[in-house]
Amino acid sequence: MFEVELIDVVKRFGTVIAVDHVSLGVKKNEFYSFLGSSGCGKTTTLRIIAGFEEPDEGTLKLGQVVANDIPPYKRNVGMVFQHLALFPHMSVFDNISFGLKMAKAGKHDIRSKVEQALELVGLPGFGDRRIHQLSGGQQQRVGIARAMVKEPGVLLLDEPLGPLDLKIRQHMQLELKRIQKQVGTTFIYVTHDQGEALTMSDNIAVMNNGRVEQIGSPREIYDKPKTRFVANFIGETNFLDGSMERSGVFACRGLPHPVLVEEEEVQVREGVLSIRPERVSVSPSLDGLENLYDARIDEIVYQGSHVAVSARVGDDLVVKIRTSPTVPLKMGQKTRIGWNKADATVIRLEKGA
Amino acid sequence: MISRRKGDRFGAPFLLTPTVIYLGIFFFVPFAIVLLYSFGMIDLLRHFRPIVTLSYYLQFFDSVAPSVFGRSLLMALATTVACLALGYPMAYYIAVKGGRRKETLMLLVIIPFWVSFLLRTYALMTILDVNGIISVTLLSLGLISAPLNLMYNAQAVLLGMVYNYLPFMILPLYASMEKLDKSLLEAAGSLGAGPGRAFLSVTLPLTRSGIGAGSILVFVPAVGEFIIPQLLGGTESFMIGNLIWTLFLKARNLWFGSAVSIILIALVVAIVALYMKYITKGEEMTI
Repeated sequence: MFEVELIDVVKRFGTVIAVDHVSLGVKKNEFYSFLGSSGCGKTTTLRIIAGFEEPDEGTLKLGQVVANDIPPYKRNVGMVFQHLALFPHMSVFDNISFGLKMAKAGKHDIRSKVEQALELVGLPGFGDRRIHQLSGGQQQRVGIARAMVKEPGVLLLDEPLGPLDLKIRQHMQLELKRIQKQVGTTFIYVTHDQGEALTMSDNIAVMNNGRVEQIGSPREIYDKPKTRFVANFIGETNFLDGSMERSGVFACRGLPHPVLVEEEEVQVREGVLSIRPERVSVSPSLDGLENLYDARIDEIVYQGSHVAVSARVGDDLVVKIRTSPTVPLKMGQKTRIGWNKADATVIRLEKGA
Repeated sequence: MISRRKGDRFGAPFLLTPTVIYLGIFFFVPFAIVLLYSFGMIDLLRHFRPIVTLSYYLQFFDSVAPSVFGRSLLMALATTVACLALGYPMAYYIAVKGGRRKETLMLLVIIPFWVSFLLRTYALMTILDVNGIISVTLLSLGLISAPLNLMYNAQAVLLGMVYNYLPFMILPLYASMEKLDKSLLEAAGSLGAGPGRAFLSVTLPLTRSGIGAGSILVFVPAVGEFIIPQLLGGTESFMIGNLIWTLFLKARNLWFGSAVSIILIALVVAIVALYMKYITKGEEMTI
């Protein structure tokens, strides 16, 4: 059973289809991310769940209930806004207690719950501050506390860490994950930052052009991308065009001999092999891997924690490799590159791709 | 090292001098003359005399002036309330729901300014007059048997004032609503506030500055208004502006007229100061 479920949801703005037949289910207490670049429909999908937009087609279920027509203020859904939307004319306390007051909670109850919420987000004693007296990170925490204090069944977060500096953002990622574990609420998190999504999520829906490209755990999304878009959007990858020779053998254009892939790979004829740069090993004495090729080092870029290497196989096939700075490599050097079956994945070519 | 550009030193005088000269000649000097008159410090031959008397101020309380003041304040208040009641929903509609038509709608609000104030008031007369559009139309429809005169009463004055001052209310209201972050209303909604509650606890407090600015822009000139009551009003809608005009130009009592003017200014300044203190509650007001 799903806590939030979208079935074939469509949303149009004029002639633009913002959300195109999206179906997905979010389980209770899950950290679920909508990942995609701007304009991919992730925020609109979130706003449909919040009730700020009504779907043109399809069904939205909250718990067991069809929620298409329920106004936002009657849904048990909290929201943390991209630009926070804290009430500038109220104190921190009044901001956080707003939802409780709307629910007509008792004075004593409100006070203790607001204090708990401030404690939870690491801002004890900040109740009397004005919003403009807080730093960006602190305002972020108030926004989260305000949305959480009513203990909503689902918390929606619309790129809440977007405006923050990198350091604070990384810190807040871990904080959010901690808060989510501590209170055990379902989180639906919208982001365009793939690193953020991979770090925090239990499940990710990768969106593109209003459609869901793939749903899966961070590991599935990263290791077994189902579409070229997903493989390209999440991290860096090498695409090698080719076709399936037979089950478990993929012939790549430009490689002297076919690539061995996992047997249960999708039944495709024309396709593309995706392999992550960090899964490719490089060394003159490389041996014992399922796929091995002779190559020549074209380019070496030192990047601190790793080295980005371009290796040329044959005449015009270049493979990007990420390797440890401790591996001794020289420009123009003859070497070997290789990877195991499980490190690459074959993607079916989409129509028009 | 902080280096100051040469121009900066001359900036302030250069920028302010024209205005200071202008206001000095056309506002401060006349104001000072009025002040001198009100204390009886200028005689019939327009010569300065070194005495100070409060008699013209005391005369105020023995005259019709207090009741005229009362009427004017009431009329200005009614105008302000009516403009707010009409202007608020209108500004809200344009700012929040206007979408792409926003500019067009605001243009429609501003267009009446392109016609002279006097002309607009005369135009109202052709509607309200005995031979005006309303009277003639109702007569021809047989709804009334005798010509109807809608002019020369307080209602006509109120109509004229609201008509002329409404844009002054809408403009600042629109500006404050335009600035209002619409996601605040969504936030209120997601926290369980229905549209009514969201309006009362978010929209209204955050458009306070617009309400304050609009009310002052309408109230202050409305208190001193004299053309509209002159053209549309009767004897019972005689306002402070008319009183001062009569005292200066008909009765030629420059001393009492000056005292009445000074009292009007003092009263308006006091009301506005109190109002601003209340409406802004320490927050900065933007017009």
